[in-house]
Amino acid sequence: MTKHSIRITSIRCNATSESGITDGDEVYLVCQADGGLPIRVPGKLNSSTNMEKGDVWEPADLVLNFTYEVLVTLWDHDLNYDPNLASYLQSTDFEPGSGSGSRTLKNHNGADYTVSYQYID
Amino acid sequence: MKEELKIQLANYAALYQSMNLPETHAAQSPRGMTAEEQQVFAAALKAWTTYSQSPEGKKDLAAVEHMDLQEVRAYVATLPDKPVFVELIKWIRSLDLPESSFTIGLCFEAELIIGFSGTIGVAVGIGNSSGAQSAEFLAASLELGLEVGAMAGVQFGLWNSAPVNLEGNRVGIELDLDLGVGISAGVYCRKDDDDLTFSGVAVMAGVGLEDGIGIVDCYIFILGDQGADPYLKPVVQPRKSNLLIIESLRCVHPSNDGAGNENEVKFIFQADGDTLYPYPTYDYFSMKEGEVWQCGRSVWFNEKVAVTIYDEDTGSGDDVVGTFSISKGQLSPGKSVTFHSTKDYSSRTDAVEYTINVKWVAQDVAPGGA
Repeated sequence: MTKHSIRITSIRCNATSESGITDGDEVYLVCQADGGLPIRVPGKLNSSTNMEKGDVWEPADLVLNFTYEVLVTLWDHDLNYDPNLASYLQSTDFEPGSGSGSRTLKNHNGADYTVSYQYID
Repeated sequence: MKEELKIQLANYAALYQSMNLPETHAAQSPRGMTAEEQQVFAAALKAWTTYSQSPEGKKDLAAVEHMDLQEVRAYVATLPDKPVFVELIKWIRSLDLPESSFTIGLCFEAELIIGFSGTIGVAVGIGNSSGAQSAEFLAASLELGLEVGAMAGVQFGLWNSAPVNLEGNRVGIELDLDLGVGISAGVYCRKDDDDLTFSGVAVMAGVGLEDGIGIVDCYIFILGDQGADPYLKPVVQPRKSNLLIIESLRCVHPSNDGAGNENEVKFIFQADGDTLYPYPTYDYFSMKEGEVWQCGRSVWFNEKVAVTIYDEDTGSGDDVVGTFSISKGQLSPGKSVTFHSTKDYSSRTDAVEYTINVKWVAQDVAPGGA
């Protein structure tokens, strides 16, 4: 029984990580509510959103339902779908009361992303 | 069925589910099963009966109930070397079959996700691929109507792909064949838009299987050679009575690993002595002195959680830089508590210190699926 929902409205790339083998990062999200089944976005295997500095990705109606929290992790995938080869960019956890707004996530490989979200109910 | 295997199967089911593959509601099988294929499956089922009722087979199959994914994978890889299957495969290779792989798989239900099942098996080359390298695979399927249980049976398949090329999604269409009690058969097709292309045929036998599976959507993963590591690391957590969040991890002082002024940090958490979960699930997060990682990792637990922080070192192995023991009695609902390492990992020349902040967000939660 989920009680809360947030919508991820956009992900802005302020800077890409240095670890990619292609221009930009091949970004995908893994969203896990309350430690349950993770959801991959984009859903299709091997799929990702190529992001370079200044790019804004607006996932189509990405609403995350949760009871206690939902953890959103940004990954940069290289080569193929094998997650063992993916690079961890950063993650952010939403709890009830997170409100609406944006969070900036950075790492020492140069990745700098802003995740914007809207609390629905 | 081992808890670890349930979680590992749930990870594959989750990956399968996240693919958003269009569900198949109705489909016409492009062909049936040939008389020769039926002969192969009849012989395979006979061989399975011989093996599973032998002292060796009984012992092996009893042991499977206590295996995790890697152990099951290692076990199925040995099946083609069992004398009864050596004979069977030799005979199949002598036939003029159009297929390129013969598979033997054990079927399990992904208990954490009702309706999903997993088949862990081995594919050997036949026909034009007789000399090809064998491959272990895991097929995740959505089969509504399956009841929760342990190992659900055995599956044999004949496929038109070489073993290493089996990966991909399939649609299984049940064939109405009178093969005996508890035995079902299906034709499997690759789906390209609305077109179905023949991919293989399979039979399943075992206790607990329902007749009339109709249509099954599935995805076959080839299990790569990942050494001791599971191909997919555990993510899904069984629900327990309490939930905490490891809100943040502070690098008070990194260890001096000789590779710059930062540590490549990751941690393992373990609730109540059960499954070990890495975080980040893959890779690491680099941290310098004084930095805080807002990791936000939720953990279901009943009584206690153990956390071990590592500095990942390629080549020389990972170094432990902090160990934490969190018990329910140390927490207050809704409040953040700072934990210090239970052991000091500093040396005379190297001060090392990490702390974690933990918040207890749910107490006495009713049991239920994750």
